[in-house]
Parts: sequence; structure tokens; C-alpha cells
Amino acid sequence: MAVSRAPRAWRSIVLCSALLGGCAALPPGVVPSPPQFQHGQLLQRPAHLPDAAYVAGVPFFPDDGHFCGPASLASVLQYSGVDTDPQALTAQVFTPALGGSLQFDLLGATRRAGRIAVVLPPQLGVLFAQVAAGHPAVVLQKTGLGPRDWHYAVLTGYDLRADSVTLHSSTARDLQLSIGQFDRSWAAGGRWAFVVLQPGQFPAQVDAQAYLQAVAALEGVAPQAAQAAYTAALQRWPGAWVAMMGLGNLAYARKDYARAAVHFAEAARANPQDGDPMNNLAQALLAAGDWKAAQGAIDVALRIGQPHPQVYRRTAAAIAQARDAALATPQH
Amino acid sequence: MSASRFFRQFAVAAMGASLIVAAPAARAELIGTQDLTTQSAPGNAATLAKDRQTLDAFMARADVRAKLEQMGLSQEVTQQRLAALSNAEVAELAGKINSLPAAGSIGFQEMVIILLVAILVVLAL
Repeated sequence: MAVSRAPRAWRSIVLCSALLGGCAALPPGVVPSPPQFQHGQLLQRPAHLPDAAYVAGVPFFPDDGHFCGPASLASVLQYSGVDTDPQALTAQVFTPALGGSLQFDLLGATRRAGRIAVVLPPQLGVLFAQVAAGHPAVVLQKTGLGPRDWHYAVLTGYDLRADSVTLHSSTARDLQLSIGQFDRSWAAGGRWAFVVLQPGQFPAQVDAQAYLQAVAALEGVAPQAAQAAYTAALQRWPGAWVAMMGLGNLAYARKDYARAAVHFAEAARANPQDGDPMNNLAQALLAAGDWKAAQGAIDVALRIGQPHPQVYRRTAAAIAQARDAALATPQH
Repeated sequence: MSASRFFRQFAVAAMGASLIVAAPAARAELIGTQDLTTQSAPGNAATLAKDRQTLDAFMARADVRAKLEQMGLSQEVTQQRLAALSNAEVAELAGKINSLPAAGSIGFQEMVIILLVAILVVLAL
């Protein structure tokens, strides 16, 4: 059992050994998951997806070695307005002992650059929709039969009628593959792809929750970008209570407890069935020194009672402690 | 001896830093944005703590520490890489560590450890 699960570990360990010309030499035969493009038809084609789209002006960094990770990331980051290049990114994403770059590294480096990394649902239609919306996507491909023949490239265009995709790939500025050929190479790695977005940009065909979770990962490394992204998200989805919570948590992290309380109270109004906003409101009020108001807030959270009742009880205990300490202090 | 002490401290410091950055107010019982119950990503603080523990235990292993040493990982790099991980990515990584075969050919296990250490390096960004 354990042994049979081992391949999962392998699959996730993604190396980029950019082979010379390897991108065109796709593994014949074996198709690990059903093709998403057959007989000229795209499965689960999103509504309003144009027949063809191309993102012009995406910077291209040719690489004929093991640095397709930094090269691909530099391409999309620079297109997104980040001042960087493959050399600067190599230290962040390349693992010399492996001779390649790992998927998580690319996502982490994107966040460190203040950009939102949105990993896409594994669907060709959703991938193409990004290009149609003007967002080039980094894709992971299997380019050969060897266990290490993984490759990152940047998808810049597709054409359903001409049956082709266009990629920045290793040394080819505009590599063309048939859609089926590309899908096979992409399916081998679980159809993994991501787009790099500025705060205020939104991925196509990705729901608010998935997007806001991608923003949440930015809070620790790029709080200002996260702040801007939450603010823009609230203009797009005014009822997005997760974004309100994010703004509150960011304010709390910078010790602006009054501001945090305002955001948490808004989130509580937007989603009164969830106890988490009231818990955080209680914490912000407690941190601001108002244990009486905090008591009132946590009482509401306890009454709602979900989804994190143990946390609410611990918050209540902390408030009780603060109250006892305050009352025990003689007023002399 | 001192190397092992260093690495224990290093692992603890790295994990501590990651917890602080990824869950800024865990000690204050503030519910982080990534832990909010959503349709797409249900998460909870207990699971996250367990996942972080799995990582912590993994990094504290002598063979893993030795690999980290061989790879010349600086504390800064490891802290930065850990801090850039989302909770979901931590969970995925912890899942991989838990799915390692308990027994097996040493060569294979060794290889997996090397690769996992590399992931940590990367992840730990």
C-alpha cells in the first residue's frame, strides 16, 4: 500500500531538465488521463471562449540548460511588471542538487515578488481562458520518456481551428504544438499550470473563494500586495467576507487593532452564520484593551458555535483572564 | 555534536519563523484567512498544526539534518522558503512525508529523502 502510493511523491517532485528539442519529442502512446481535446473539440469549453487568442509582448528568455524554471517565471513576472530576470530568480527557485526547479518554488517566488500565484483547475478550457483574458500561463510538461524529462514553458497562445498552441519554450520563442500533443505532455504532470496576477487582476474561470485563498497565501510575504488584492476583490465581489477577514488579519498583524475590528465586524455582518469573524473581532477588541466589548463579541461567536468552537472557547478564556486581571487591579 | 545541536536549533528556528509568518496570530487564537471554512478549501487550525508538526519532525530527523547540511542550506533561505508556503502547500508536503514507505530498498528511500529535502528547501522559501 505504502509502496503503491510512492509515485505520488515522485509525481510532485518536478524537475525541469530542459532538453534540447525535447519539448517537441513527446512521449508516444501512453495517455495518463482522458484527452480534453478530441476531433477538433475542446471538452468543457467555457462559454464565450474565443476560437483563438494570443498574448503579445510576453518577454522571452531562451534557455538551453536546466533553467527553464527561472526563465519561465521571469517571463510571466516581467510581463506582470516585476523588475526581475532569470539570473535574479535562480537563487530563489533553482535547486542545484536536483538540477531543476520545483513547482512550489515557482509559487513561492511569485508571492515574494508581490504577485498572486493562482494555480488553475486542470482543464484545457480554463487554461485557454487565461490566455484569452491576457494572462500567459506557466505550464508543466513531460517532454520525454525519462523520469526527469519535466519542463516548464509559458503558454502565450492557442488556436482551436488551426489546432495549435504557442509556447515560449527552452530556446523557441514561438514553439507550436498541436493541441492534442500539448495536452498529452501537460496531462502527464497532472495538468499543472498557474498564472501570475497583479492585485486588481482576476483569473478567468476561477471562483472568488479559490482566488481569495491564493491571495491569503500572500499575507505573510507581501502584506501590501495582499491588502491591495483584497480591496480590489471587494469591489468585484462586495459580499466577499473572506476578503474582509483578510483585511482584518492584515490590520491585526500590523497591530492596527481598531482597523482590524472594523473589518472583522463587517465580515460578521456579511456572514452572520459563521462564528470566525466574531472570534477575530473579540481578539482585536481584546488586543485593543476593551475586554468588555470583546466579551460581547465572543458570546456571539459561542452562540453561533461553528466552525471553530474550541478556538472560541480559548478566546473566551483569554478574555476572562484579562477581565480578572483588570478587576483584581486595585484602583488606588 | 555541535553540528547536530546547530541543526536542531536551526530546524526549530526555521519552523518557528514559518509559523509566525504563516499564522501571524496563532497564539492569539486569531483565525487566519487561510483557515476560514470555504467551499473550496476547508481547513482548520488543528490540521495545520499537525501538518507543521509533521514537517518539524521530518526536519529534525538526523538523516534529513545531514542532507540539509550537505546542501549547505542557510537559515535565511530556509526561513524565506517556508514563509512563502500556503497552508494547503504545507498540508500537501506533510501528506507526502506521511506517505513515504516505511520500509524498502535503502537506495529508494534515500532518494526520496534527498528529494523531499530539496522540496523543503524549495518550499521553505
